[in-house]
Amino acid sequence: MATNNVVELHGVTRRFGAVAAVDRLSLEVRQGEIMGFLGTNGAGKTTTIKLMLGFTHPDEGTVSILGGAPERPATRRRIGYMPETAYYYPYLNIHELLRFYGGICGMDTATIRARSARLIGRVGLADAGRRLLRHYSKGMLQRAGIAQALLHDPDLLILDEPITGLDPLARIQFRDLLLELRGEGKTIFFSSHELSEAELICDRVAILKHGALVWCGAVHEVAGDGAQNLERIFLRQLGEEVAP
Amino acid sequence: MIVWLRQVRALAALAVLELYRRKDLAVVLILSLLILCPLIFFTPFGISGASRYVNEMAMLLIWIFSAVIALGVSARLFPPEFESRTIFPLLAKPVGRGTLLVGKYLGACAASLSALLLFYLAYGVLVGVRQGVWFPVVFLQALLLHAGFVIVVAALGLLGSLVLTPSANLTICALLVGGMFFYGQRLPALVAAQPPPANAILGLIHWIGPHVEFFDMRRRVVHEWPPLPWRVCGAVMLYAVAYATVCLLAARSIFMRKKV
Amino acid sequence: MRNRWLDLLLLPALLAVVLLARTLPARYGTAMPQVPGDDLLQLVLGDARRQLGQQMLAQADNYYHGGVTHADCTGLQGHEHHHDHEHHHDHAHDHDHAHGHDHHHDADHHHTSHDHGTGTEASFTMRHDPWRWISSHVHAQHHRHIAEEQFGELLPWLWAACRAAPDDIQARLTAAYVIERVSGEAHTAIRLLEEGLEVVPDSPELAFSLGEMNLIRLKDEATAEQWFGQSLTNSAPRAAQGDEDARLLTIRSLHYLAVLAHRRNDTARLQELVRQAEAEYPTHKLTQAMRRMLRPEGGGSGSRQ
Repeated sequence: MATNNVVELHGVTRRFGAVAAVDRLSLEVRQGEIMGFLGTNGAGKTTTIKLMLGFTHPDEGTVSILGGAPERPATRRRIGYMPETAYYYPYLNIHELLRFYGGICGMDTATIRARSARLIGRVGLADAGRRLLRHYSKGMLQRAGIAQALLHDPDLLILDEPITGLDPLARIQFRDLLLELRGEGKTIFFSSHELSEAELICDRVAILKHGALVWCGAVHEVAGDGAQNLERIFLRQLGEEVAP
Repeated sequence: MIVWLRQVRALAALAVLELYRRKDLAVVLILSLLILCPLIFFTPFGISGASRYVNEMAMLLIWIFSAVIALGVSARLFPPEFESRTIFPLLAKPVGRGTLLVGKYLGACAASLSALLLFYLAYGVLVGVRQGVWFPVVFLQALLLHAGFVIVVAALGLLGSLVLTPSANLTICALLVGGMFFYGQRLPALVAAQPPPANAILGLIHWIGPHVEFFDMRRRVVHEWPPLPWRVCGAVMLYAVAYATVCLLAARSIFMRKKV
Repeated sequence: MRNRWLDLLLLPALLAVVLLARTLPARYGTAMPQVPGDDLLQLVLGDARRQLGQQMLAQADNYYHGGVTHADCTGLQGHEHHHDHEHHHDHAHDHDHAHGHDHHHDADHHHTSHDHGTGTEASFTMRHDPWRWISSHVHAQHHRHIAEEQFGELLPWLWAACRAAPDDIQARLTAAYVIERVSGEAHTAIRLLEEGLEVVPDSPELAFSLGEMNLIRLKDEATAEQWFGQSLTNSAPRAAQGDEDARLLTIRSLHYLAVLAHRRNDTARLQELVRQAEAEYPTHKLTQAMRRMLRPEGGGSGSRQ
């Protein structure tokens, strides 16, 4: 493995029957970068994330996360994951949710308490108080998801559609948060449909089509040529008509 | 080890918190009060003083509700996690599936046993106030054996939750537990009286079914029978632990292979 | 505006419903679809209330035996069966009444409904039962009866049995006995038996029991004599068909009537009763007792059989 690659996928294939959800995918994510993972619905983004987290195993190829297999507890201790569906235990409040996940990560009570207090403020849930999660809006649940992903101070963040459901102000705050985290040395890998957001914060972007990687490159290489450049690349790679 | 304990404690605490937040227990307690209060003040033929029938009804309600709670909590351990996909952030954490299973099971037991303790405390106070008998040995034995019942039922519910939908799991477990509770004692006589193949099927049920009737001390408590010999209590609790262990091992085997 | 109108309509609609519920049965009577029942229990349970009454009575019997059921006492090898005969005789009379059965009192009196199963074990025992040891120790119990001061514990179940099946004679007899023993006064018990006769007017058992209650507890000989007379009348049809219980009640009623006639020195009546007894039960010991009452020097036993 190259010394600064946090994620390495080599020739990874995952089939469901006759359909290859992920087809010979090779991808690296470098230490300290923000990588956007783009594709239409059904392109294989979530399956790729599941492979990265060890929820499922590839039929071919290898997956290496932080230098090890993703199923190992030592690897998972350094990964923070936020799922696409923002749904958590409805009868807990945010403090209890973080206490639960902190306990799952093996953290002691004092550490959980200190980090929870900081994180709840950081993600903008300080006003939620003791409200149960079942009364949260979608945006609030997304923030709770980010908080639980960050609780154990992971090195790698894997976020599945993290911007979905956020209002414009929340998106700005989320964008700033990701940039802060990158500044702290964390590596961020997120999938999204939001091309504009990806263009603003990602260092590199990978585009998936029918399970195969069709384009991977640095955003700054194409930025500066108009606000629609990433969109043009995206549509071109998908074989769609691009307006002049 | 400390990390493992913290993980198990976090999982267990979740089940307990959910039971009390869902207010299932409050509903059950209120229902019990509604049923028992009229009985307490009832005077058949204008003559007061009878108390055993109230005790019997109270014990019956305790058994019904403890079974409902134990099955309800354990049947909801895994299906909602898969349906709502909270299983993903959970499995993404540094926790093994075996630990997840143990933690969830202990949580179901803790939640159900805490409810059981409340029921027995209320019953003990009721009997103490009305009859002046405070927590006799047979009562404590009944609590202990009832705890054995709960750990068996929770294990069954957990096993079912990995292969069945919650409603199917609840129905099957309720039929199995209820059937054994009321008819398990008569199974040997039924086996002896039936022709093949019915006797073989009943015999199999008798061998491997959960003999929850072993834990039933209601009559001893209500009719003030002498306590069980402690070696018998020990044997029954050993049966409970062994049966629960078998269920948990089967559940572990299924969960390890389960695709998410 | 529209919601307000709907809200205003609610009360008149409710009144209309109540009015219809009250007037329809009165207007159409038996033409209504449902069959009018005696009470709610009859409507809900129908014939099943008899079964329910039997279950309640069985539960009272269970309580009488300290919660020990027949199944707990049988089919257990090596299990000790304590059956103290001394205890048995002491409670024999109580037991009969508690059961409501009219057993013969003899030295060989058994709990016929509770065979302690020495002969039945082999037929209904499973071979290779892995749970035998636990089951035998958890469930089995000695045969037992509750003490008299605990008889009140039977009352709720007996009340339920009488309520569930008002025509259940056994339930009423047992309940009346227990009420009288627990409360020490007979009026409640008598009222219960009289209510039973309103439901089952041709019951000789109820009439007989009323006679005994009035005679022994209230010392009301006149009323007792009326009831014994009714018992005699009620038992006659069944006795004529050979019903042994009815025949026994007949001779017992005759005996009581004879005792009462003897006490007021009504020789003519006594003779008539003796003749009646001799015609049907010439060798019965009660007939012999009645004959002894006719003798000038001794008289028969005026005591209770």
